[in-house]
Amino acid sequence: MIGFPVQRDEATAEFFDGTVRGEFLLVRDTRTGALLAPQFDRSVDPRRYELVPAAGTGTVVSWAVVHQRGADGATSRVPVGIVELDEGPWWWTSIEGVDPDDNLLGRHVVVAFEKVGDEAVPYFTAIEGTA
Amino acid sequence: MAHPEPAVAGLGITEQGKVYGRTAAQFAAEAVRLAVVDAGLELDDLDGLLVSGRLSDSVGIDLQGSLGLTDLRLLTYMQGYGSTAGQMVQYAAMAVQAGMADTIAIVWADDPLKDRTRASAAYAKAGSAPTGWRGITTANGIYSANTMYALAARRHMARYGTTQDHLGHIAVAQREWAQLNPIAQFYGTPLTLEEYHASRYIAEPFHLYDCCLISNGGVAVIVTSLERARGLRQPPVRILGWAQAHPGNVGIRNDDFGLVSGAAAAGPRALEMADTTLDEIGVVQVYDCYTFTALLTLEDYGFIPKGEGGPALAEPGMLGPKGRLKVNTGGGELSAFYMWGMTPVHEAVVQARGQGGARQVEQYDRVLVSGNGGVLDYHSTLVLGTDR
Repeated sequence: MIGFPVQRDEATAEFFDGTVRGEFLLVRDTRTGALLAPQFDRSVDPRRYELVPAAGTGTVVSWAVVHQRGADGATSRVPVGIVELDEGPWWWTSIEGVDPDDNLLGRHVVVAFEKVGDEAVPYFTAIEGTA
Repeated sequence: MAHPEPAVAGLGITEQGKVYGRTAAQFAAEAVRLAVVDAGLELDDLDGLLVSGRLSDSVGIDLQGSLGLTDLRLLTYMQGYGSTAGQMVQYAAMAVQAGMADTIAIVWADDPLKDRTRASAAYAKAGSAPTGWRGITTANGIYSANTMYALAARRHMARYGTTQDHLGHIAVAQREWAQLNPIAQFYGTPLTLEEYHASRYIAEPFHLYDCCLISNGGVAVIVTSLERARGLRQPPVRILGWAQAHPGNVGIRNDDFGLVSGAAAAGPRALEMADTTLDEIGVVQVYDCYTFTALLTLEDYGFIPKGEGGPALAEPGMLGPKGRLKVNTGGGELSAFYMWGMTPVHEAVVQARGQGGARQVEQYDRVLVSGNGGVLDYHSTLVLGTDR
């Protein structure tokens, strides 16, 4: 679950144009074919670096469980992780649909989007029946 | 013309911890004045000033004016996060070697703690509004260095079988050292392994006592030529070797994340420059923003084989005041005070002068010091040594 709205800036404008369409955009180097992380600044050469939608699936390479204390003093446990996208780049994200006491290493996950404020913010959720 | 050899001639530290009612800039000015007096110099003797802090607008180069310094030949603000203090010593050493400046004060100060503000809120409050790439990560619940380092530590645990019990031994050992350091924030408050395990979770796998303190205060060091230092008040501490290593791509894709840090590259280079081998190092001060960071750095330097740090450091007789490996002898950032890279630099100078009192180690002629910044993004190493 996404906690609060995120504002786009110049660097994330194209990425957020994709998320509202339900796409998680990567950057593809047309010269080498390499698929780069979304954060790669393609404005250095827009003809060489193009935007392509990722498959949206990946594998958990590390995870942690954040303990958040609410105003009422109660603690909630929020699983987060690093996902290796099927295309290669890593992405730091919350992970929904998992038991925080499970070993999440190697768990297959898929991107989802939550509309908060003006933008659709990506997060990842477990694909059932995987480990 | 032979280049002058650089040395540390002065050390100044303000009161540390919950010291309220003063700004970072005020702590910085006091630390410089204390370091100058410690060296047996006057403020007018300074011809260089390197400044840093957590936030660029809290401590700046206007410190020159606050100190009334005129005719400086070197002045700048630097930022390499936790690697900054080590870097500042390096650049000051090179300026002395080059003849650019002769007597340089380097200072780091911070004031995150405000009266009646919880420590955990102090850093969170300073965070920027959720915008752009960082905003996406923040909205996903990853907004604290605690969580980011927890993700790093989990990789090490998953790959090598490192356990929370292993990390707990590091926390307990450093707390033992802090009991011998009267300026440590945890002086008089020992820690057992049971208390470590019972402490609340911050971000699993990290308990509260896996995480460093938060401190108000300042630390300053005076770097000059060895020749000049020999004529001053304190035993000179030679700056024998140094290196930096900044791996890059952390968070985008770095398969070494949590497994190897910049210390692996910088450590051997700094030792080679100092013409020193690892077994000649009698005491090591590593950057320990987390128990895990200390473990990783000790592995990367080669004190223990890669992946074996957990069980090796937890072995009886390894860490702590009675241990074979003398690590973070002041209690470190975990148990003494958190002045970022100045915490290990400060204790290294204390030990290399032989002024550690109850915690002074026997073999201190070569001291290894690490600085680590970002989320294992930035690294600096120093090799310090006694004169002759």
